Amino acid sequence: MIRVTNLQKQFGKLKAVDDISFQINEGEIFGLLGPNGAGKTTTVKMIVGMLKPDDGHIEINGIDALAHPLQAKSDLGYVPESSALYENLTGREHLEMVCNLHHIASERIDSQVARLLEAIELKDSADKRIAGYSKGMKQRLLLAGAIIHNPRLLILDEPMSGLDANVQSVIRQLIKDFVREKRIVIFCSHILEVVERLCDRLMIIHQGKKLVEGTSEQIISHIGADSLSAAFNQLTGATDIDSQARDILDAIENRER
Amino acid sequence: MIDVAEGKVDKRQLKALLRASLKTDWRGSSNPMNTAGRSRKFPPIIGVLILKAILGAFLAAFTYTIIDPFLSAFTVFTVMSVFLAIIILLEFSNLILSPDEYAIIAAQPVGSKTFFMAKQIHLLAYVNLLGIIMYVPSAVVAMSVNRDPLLLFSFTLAGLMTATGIGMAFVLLYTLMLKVVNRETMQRLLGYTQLVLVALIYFSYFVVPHILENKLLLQVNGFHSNWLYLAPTSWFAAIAALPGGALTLSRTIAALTAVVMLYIVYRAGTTRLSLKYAQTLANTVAQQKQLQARRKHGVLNRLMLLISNHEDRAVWRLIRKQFKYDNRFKMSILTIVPLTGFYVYLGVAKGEAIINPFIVAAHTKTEGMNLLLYVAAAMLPFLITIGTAYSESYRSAWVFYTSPADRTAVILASARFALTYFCLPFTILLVGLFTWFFGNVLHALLHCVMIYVILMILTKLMVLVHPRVPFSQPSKAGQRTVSMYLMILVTFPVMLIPMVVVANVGYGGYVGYSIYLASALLVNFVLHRIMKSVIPRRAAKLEFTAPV
Repeated sequence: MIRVTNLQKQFGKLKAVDDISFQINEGEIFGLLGPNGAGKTTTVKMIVGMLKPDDGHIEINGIDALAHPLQAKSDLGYVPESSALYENLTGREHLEMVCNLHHIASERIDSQVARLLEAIELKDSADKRIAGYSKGMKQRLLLAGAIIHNPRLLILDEPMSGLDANVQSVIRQLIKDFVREKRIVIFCSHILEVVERLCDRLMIIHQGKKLVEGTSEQIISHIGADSLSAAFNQLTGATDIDSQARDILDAIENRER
Repeated sequence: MIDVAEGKVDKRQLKALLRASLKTDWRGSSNPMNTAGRSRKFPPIIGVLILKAILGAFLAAFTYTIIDPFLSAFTVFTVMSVFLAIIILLEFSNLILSPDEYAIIAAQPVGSKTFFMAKQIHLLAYVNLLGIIMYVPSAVVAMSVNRDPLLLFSFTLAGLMTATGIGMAFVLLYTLMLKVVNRETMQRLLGYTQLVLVALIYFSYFVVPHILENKLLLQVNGFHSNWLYLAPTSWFAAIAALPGGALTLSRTIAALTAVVMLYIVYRAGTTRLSLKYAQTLANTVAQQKQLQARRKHGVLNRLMLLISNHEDRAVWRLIRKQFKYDNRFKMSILTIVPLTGFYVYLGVAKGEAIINPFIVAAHTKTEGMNLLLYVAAAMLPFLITIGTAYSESYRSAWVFYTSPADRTAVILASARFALTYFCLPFTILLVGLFTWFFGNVLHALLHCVMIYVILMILTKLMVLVHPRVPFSQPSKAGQRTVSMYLMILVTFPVMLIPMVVVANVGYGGYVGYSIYLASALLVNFVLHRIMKSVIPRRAAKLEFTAPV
């Protein structure tokens, strides 16, 4: 179980995350929704230990993640938004490095890496430098690195962006299969359709604040909208989409309203 | 209306591009590995400018000694050219060589000429700014000592031409090389060029005066040889010396050659720096991405299995791979090779025996040159730890933050790498060298054990002063140069003070040696204890704020 309580983070004068709390249970896919700059990535970065919260509490599988970060991280896998990988390493070397950082027994590393490379269809490119990988290959490699130590929590930050339909399907299926064994997935995105189809529960955040939490049906009925997209627009202030689009066109064509 | 014609430069676009580039350079970097809340507001280029201003002051003092405007201009321009070349290679290569530019230029209605004019001005602005700092003090001094106000003008003009010539020569060199070799080979070649230039600086600073027994300064005044005209900087020096009288035929020809050469280099560089060049760069990068790294089961890979610490294994492999493929990192490390070579040469040159600290007599005085051996040893851990901190791929360091790796161990791993891969072989080399001079293997071995313990102390100090996750700092123009100079300032006293004592007083036999060694080990132990309590606390405060 993940329990996040009163999480706060400020950058200068900007409150990136403002008093956010939520709880995720085993077997759940939890969607973190919000427009660009809402605070999704900052929240995730605090959970995975890249940023220190100014205030609040994070508990991962019963471990205080702020007091015992290494223990908490040993049960956590993370796929970042961008494919930031050491491009001079090969795919195999990257996974070996991740294994070492997770203290996987030396005698197991070779076989585990080989099996995983085969499973994600990177066997033939395993000894090529990551610099030569396509976006899809890098994403599959990141995913493999995130699950190689068999974590109980997987956090994916915009994992579908820029990927073709095939890779997206693989990731979707993997997430579904992953949570069947009482594990947890946090899925961070701004693509509403994917989140709605995949996630058991959602949380919408905007300007660092939690706006609403629940299943997509609960959110839709709570807001009184006819779809998640409408509810999202209503919650995040983008209500009059038509008028906004018209304003943009008017501005570039220098038209009077 | 945007003018996309190849032959014209759009002034508005040019201004916008320049403003964007300069703002990027001069804004303080947001450091992804800062402790919470702190961010750097001091662009490292300022540090480079300060260092070059110090060099400019030295050159001015040199000009005061030489008096002769031609010879002083020749010396100043030669030194300036070498330093500018190194800075271009080390810090400003991306201004000419960035393969990402094509993606920008291809999608925007910016003409090829405009875009590359902006790049050219950007590079020349830096080159000339650094140049001015180096030669203007000499120009002022030359004017004062020769009582000729025109010298200020001619010296400055010639300096401007030299710096511009150097900048454009590099543009031309890069574009011509790219026609023959791919980008990776080219970067490797440029790296080795940098190494040669660094060697040249050390050679002129240390070895030449040593060979000439420091008579160079005394004899240089009034020195005239037509051989000097083989060096291009002498052509520009001839322009600087024009108002000083003595308008000989050779100087007039040299001055004219400078003007013609600058025109040719400028024209050729400007013509070659085109959209086609950008496209070629982008293509070579695409080709380079097909490169395959074969899996090797070499000795080093097998040795890696002997390392019990997982963090060390992960970081050491990463450092080795970065060393293999990251040319900037490789060259920053390899710089130590010529330096070490010269220090070893100077340490043993002139028949000055390296003093055996076990049998040093009370009246024995060292000239100090052999202490340079210890300085060379001390520079290794500094160079590696600084080199492993900065990288173009700093955004990939997130992996060290999200994994359950012991961050203290990760931070210490690069220091341990330096001690194992660089300091240990160098110390073994010293054992051989000292055995030759001492004629006693045991003395040589024990002395080197002492040196190695001091190296361990140095490494710990370095980590304590600035703990960093490997390859987690963005490379900012000027950062490496400033770090290098700071490193030299810190290294010299820490290593030299104990070694000066040892060289002058000696160990006083095995008992004395044991006391020395025990003291060094005690310091080492104390530092280790301090590190154990300080580094985890500091490491826990580190945040990764780079976008991922």
